[in-house]
Amino acid sequence: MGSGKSHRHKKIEEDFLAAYDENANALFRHCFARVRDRELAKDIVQETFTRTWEYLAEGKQIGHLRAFLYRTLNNYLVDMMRKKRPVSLDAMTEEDGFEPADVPELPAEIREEMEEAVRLLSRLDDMYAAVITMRFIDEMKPSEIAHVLDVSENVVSVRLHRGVKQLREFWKERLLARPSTTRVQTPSDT
Amino acid sequence: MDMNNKEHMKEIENTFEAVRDVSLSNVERETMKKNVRLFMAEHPLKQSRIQRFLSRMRTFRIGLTISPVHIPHVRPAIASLFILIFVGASTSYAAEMALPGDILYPVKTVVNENVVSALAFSEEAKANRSATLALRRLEEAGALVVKGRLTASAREEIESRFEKHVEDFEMRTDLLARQERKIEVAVDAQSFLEAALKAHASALIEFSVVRPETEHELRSILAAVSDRVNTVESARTASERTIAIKVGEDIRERAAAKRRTVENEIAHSRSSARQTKAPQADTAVMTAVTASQGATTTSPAPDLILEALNAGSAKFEEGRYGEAFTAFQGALRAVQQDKLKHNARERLKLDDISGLPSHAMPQEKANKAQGAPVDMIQEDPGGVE
Repeated sequence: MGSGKSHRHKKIEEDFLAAYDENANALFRHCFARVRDRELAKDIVQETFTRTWEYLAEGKQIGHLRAFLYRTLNNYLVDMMRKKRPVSLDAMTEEDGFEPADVPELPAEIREEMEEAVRLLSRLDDMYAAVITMRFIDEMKPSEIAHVLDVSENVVSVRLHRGVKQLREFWKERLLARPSTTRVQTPSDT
Repeated sequence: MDMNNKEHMKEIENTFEAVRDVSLSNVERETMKKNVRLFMAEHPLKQSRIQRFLSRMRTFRIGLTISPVHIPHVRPAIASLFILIFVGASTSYAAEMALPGDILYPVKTVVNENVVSALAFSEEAKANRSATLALRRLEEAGALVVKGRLTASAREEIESRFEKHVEDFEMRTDLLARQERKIEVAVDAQSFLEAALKAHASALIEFSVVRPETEHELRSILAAVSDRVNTVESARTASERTIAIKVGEDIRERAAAKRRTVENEIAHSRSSARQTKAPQADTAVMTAVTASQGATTTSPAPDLILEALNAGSAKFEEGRYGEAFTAFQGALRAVQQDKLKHNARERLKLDDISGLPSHAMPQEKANKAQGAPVDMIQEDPGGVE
């Protein structure tokens, strides 16, 4: 990047690359949890950064870069899911959809839990999956989620509440579906 | 959350914890960064004329996409004023009719409503303002459902704002109810909001009965209203218990004033009914007829209103002014509910859709309305004990 750049342009580039260093992993994690495919998640994260840069390159300003990155990522995911929807996420079952096998260093137990988490997320409605991922995986505060999604904190609370409710239902279904020997014991079982 | 749910949540959180360990390898991260750098080199930054202009503005920073206007360190009221000037009076006026999903809706809720709220100084005025805004959200829900535009996001927007306004109302009326000389003011506000919420809910339920495809769209809003009716009603009842034991000249005057208000309201209601001459206009009278025939009704019957009024008068004559006040308040609430329900039905064009006024709703439909998700549509007996 040429030497004749203004101080302001240099500052923007530095800030952007710093934002990459700070957020690439978190964005990848968020994306992986939602698309269940490591390579696809990498592509989407890269696309998120290039789209954000394009926006800056047009001379537009971004107040909160991290929030903007998450919003861009989320919009991209929503568009992608919408296009994919006819195939149905239900079809991406544990047998054929989730492929974390290309992460050989993960212990089997953790891999199993990861599979479980992304399966649960994939069953949620998109709007709930986004806030649940941001809250429980990205560990973002509701105020930050509200900023990313450009909705009020109350809306985030409502979505979180409903998303968790759906998750609990899915979780109960899974417990019931498990063979009795492996079923997790709950207080009501005793 | 019971133990079972807590256990489930713990399990779910543990499951998500495993995903938190997912990360890019160093090679993956550096490869991606290299690609991003290449893209940056191919797409250098440029500066628009607007940006050059905006960069000179040191005081305000305007982010055209992230948020409409970002003004750090500026007090909200001043910011509102700035936006009001920025968007212009005509936009602000046009925004008054906006509904969730419309471009101007944020101007209505963020600018107009905040500016008006900022002008309310007393707790009483602020409580009434919150009640007005809560009811406005329900009117918006009604307008959207009539137009077939009550989407999930619009519902969420309305519900969250509705909850916020009622919470604010409850907090302020609670403060008022703790002051001996303001408790009647609190009851007045609580009683009105309770009547209005019941009226709106009743009309919306009726709408969902005649247009069954909207039942699902309205369900969560009606459930939220139902919850709030219960909390507002409980608070009102608690305040009335304190008033009921009051004695002295002050409460006597307040009770007498309340009786005059009820009498005026009833007279006004009868006069409007005579003027319109529409079969459904005198809903109070028609409801009484329906009730006497054993049919289900969703509005308070006029004989119950008169009963509450007479009960209040009897207590007044006995010198039990506090109890008289609450009885009159009950009668007033019943009249208000009837009037507000009539207005809400008109806004929902219910007579046009169903072809039947509320009192003439077939028994089957009326029963269905009573079995709807909220249990608030029964007539208000007017607080007669």
